[in-house]
Amino acid sequence: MPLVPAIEIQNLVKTYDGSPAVDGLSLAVAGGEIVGLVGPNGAGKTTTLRCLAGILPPTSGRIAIAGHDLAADPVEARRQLAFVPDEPRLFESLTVADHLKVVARIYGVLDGPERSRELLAQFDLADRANAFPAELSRGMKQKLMIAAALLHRPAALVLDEPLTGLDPGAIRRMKRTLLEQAASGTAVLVSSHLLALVQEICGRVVIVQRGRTVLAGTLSEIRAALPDLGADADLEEIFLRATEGPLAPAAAAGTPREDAESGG
Amino acid sequence: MNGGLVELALLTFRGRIVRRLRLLREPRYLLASLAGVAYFLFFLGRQLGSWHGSRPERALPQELTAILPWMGGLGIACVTTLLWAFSSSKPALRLSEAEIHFLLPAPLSRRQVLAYALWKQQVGILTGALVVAFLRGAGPPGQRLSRFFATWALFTLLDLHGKGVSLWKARLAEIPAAQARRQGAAAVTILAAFWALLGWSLLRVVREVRGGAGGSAIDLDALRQIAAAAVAGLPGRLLTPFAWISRPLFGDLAGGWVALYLLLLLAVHSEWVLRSRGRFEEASLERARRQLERGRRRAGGLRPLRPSTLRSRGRQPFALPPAGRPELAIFWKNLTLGSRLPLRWRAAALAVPPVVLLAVLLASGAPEVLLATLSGICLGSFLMVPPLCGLFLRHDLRADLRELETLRPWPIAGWRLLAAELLAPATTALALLGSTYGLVLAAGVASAILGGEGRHRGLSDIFGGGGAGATGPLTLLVCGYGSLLVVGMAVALLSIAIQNLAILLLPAWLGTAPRGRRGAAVTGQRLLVFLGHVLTLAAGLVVPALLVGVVLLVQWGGMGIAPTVAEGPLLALLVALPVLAEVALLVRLGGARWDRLDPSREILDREE
Repeated sequence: MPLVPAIEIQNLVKTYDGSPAVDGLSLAVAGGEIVGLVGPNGAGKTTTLRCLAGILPPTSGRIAIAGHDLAADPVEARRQLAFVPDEPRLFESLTVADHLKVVARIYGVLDGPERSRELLAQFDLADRANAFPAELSRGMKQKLMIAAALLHRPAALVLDEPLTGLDPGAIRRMKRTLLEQAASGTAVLVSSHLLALVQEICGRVVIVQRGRTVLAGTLSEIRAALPDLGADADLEEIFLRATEGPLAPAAAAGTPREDAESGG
Repeated sequence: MNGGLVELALLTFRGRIVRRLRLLREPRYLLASLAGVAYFLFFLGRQLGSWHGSRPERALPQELTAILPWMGGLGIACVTTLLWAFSSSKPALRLSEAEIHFLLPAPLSRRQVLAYALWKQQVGILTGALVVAFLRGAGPPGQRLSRFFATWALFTLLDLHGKGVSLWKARLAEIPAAQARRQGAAAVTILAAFWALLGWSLLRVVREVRGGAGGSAIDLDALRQIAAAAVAGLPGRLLTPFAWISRPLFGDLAGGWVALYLLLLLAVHSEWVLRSRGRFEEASLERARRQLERGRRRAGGLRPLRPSTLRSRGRQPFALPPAGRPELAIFWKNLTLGSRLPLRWRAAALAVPPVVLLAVLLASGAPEVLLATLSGICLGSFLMVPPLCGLFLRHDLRADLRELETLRPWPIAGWRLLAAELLAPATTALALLGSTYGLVLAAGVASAILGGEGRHRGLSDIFGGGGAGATGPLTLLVCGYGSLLVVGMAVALLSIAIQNLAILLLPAWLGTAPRGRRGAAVTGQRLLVFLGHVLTLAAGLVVPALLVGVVLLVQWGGMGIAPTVAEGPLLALLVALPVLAEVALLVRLGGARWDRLDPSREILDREE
C-alpha cells in the first residue's frame, strides 16, 4: 500500500483578479523529506505556501496535509501543519513564553510547558522568555516563530524564507533543526532564495515560474534532464537556466508538472 | 528645491490620487467616496450659505475688538516661550522611513532635504488653514481669505519656530560645552527679561488704574481701563511684534503692511531653519519608525505599548492551564491587549469605588446631588455603552486580523475562533456596566439604610419606575437595574459581534492598514459603517421589542395587570435571549465567512 504524502498539492490554481499567481501547480512531500521550492520573485511561491497553510483559499485544486483534505477537513489538516511566514507575525502584547503557551493550548500540546522550555533553550531564547516582540531583534522574532511552529510536532512543516534575518550561527542551527525534523519523519517544504542552502539540505527541488513547475526532482535528476549544463552544475546554474534561459524540451519532460497534467 | 525632490513630491501626490481613483473601480469604494463627498459638501454648503449674508458674523463689542490682537499676541508669545522651554533637542522631521532611506544617502545638500521636509509639511498646514478659514466661522469671502492667509502664516511660523528651536538645541549638544552654555544662557536671559519686563509693566498699569479709581475692587469697567492702558503703554509695545501676527486673524491687514510683515517673518524663519546645523537624521528615523509602529497598533485598535505594560510582563490575566479548549487561550491572549493585570485585581479595582462610595454616603448622609449624578452616569452608561461598545472595544478579531498569517493556520473552526474573539471585549463591556451598576447599588443601599424616602424616588424616577414606591428601593435596584444590566450585556455582545462580522465582510473599511487613512472615501466608509452598525443593531432589537410588546399587551391590555419592577428580570430575559440567539447566528455567519475569507487583496497585500 503506497504511503500517504504528508503534503500533497494537486493542480493548484490561485488567481488574483483573473490573472493566475499559481497555475496548476502539483507537488508532494513525503514524511522525512525536505523539498525546496525555488523561483524568481513573483513566481507564486508565497501564494502556494499561503494556500497550503490555509491562509488563502485556492481558486481550484486540492491540498491535503497528512491525508486530510484542507477544504473538507480544515481543522484536522491544520493540526498536522506548521507554517512559518516570511515576516515574523507576533502578538505585540504577548511575551516570548506567552506565545508558546497560547500556541500549545491552541494545538492541544499536552506537554506544552516542557516542550516550550526545550524549544526556548534550543533556539537560545530562554533568557528572553519574558521579552515582548518589540524588544526582540528580527532574528529573534524569526526564531520564536520557528519555535512556535515546532511546538506541536507537526507532520508537515512549511517555511517561507526561514533564514531571513538570522545570524550565521542561527542559520547553522536552523539547518540542523530542519534536518532533525526530517529525520524524525516530518515533511519539510521550504521556500528560499538561498540556493546554496536549498542545495545543501533539500533532497528534492521544485523550480517554479509564473505559477508553474518548470523543473522538479533531485539535483541529479535535474542535471540529467539538462545534459548541456554538465554533471557538476550547481542549483544556481540550473535555476538561472530554468528561469532565464531557454529550457530544452528534454528538460521539461518527466517533471511533476508534466505528471500532473497527465493526471499523475 | 532640487528638481528631483520636486518631482518626488509631485509623483507622490499623483500616485496617491491615482491609487485612490483606482479604488473607485470597486463599487463599495465608489459608494463610500460618494458618501464622504456628500458629507463634506453638506457642511461646505452650509458654510457657503453664510457667504451670502444668510449667516452674518456676530459683531463683537468695539473695546473687545481693539484688544483682541494683543490678547492673540500674548497667546503667541506664550506658545513661543513654551517652544523654547519644551521643544525636543532631538529634532525629528516629518519624513517617512522610505524618504529617509532614499534621501539621506542621496547626493542632496542638507538644505535641500530640509526644504523638502518643510514643503511636505505645507500639505497639512494648508489643509488645516483651509478648514479654519472656510469651514469654521462665518463672513464674506474676502474676510475668509484674509483669515486663511493669517491662519496659514501662523501655523507655518509656529512650525518653523518649533523646528528652528529644536535644531538649535540639537546644535548646542554638538558644540563645545562652554559655548553651548553661553548660548543657552543668552536665550534664557532674553526670555526671562521679556517676561519680567512684560509682567512688571502690566503690574504698573494695574496699579495706576486702581490708584486712579481709589483702590476699589477690579470690576468690568476697571478691566476695560487696564486693557486700554496696557495696549497704549509698554506692555502693548512689547507685545506688538506678536500682536501683528495675530491681527489678520481678526480681519485687520493694516493696508497690507501686516501681510508684508508676516511674509518677512516667514522668510527669516525659513532661512533660520534651512541654515541650521543641528543633527536631525537619527531623530527623524526614530520618529518615522515610531509613527509606523503607532499606526500599526492603532489600525488594530491598540494603544502604543506603554511602560506599565512592559513593567507588568510577569503578570497575566489569569493562569492559563496548559491543556483544554483553545478558545480560552484566545480569550487570554486578547485580554493582555488591554492590560496584563490579573482579572481578579481588575474585579477588585472595580469593587473599590462602590465600597468607598457606600462608606462616603453613609458617613455624609447620602447627599441628593450625589445620588442624582450617579443615577445620571449609570443611565448614560446603560444607554451608551452597550450599543456603541462594539465601535470602541476592539481587542478582538479586529486587532488580530493583522496577524492573519499566524491566526489562519490555527486548527480551530471559524465560528469557534470568532466566538473566542468576542470574549475579551465582552468582558470589558461587562466590567464597564458592572462598575456603574455597583455604584448605583452602593448609592441605593446607602439610601435604604439611611431611610430617605425622597432619595429612593429620585433614583426610581430616572428610570420611570412608577411602581417603585410599592416594590421598595432594593427591589428596584436589583430587579430594575439588574434587568438593565442583563439587557445591556446582551446588546453589548450584539454590538461587538456586528463589528467583528463587519470587518470580515469589509476588512479594508474597518482599518487593517499600517497607516492612518484620510480622504473622502475613508470618511464615507466610516460614516457608512457607523450607519450600518446602528441600523443592524436596531434591526436586531426588533424581535425582542416585539416580544416584550406582546407580553405587556397581553398582561396589561388583555388581563388588566399592571407591570411591576419585579417583572424586570423576566422581561430582560425576553430581550436578552433572542439577542443572544442573534449573536450566535452572527458568530456562525462570521465563522463561515472566516473559513472562506480570501485575505489576499484587502489584508495581506493591500495598497493602503
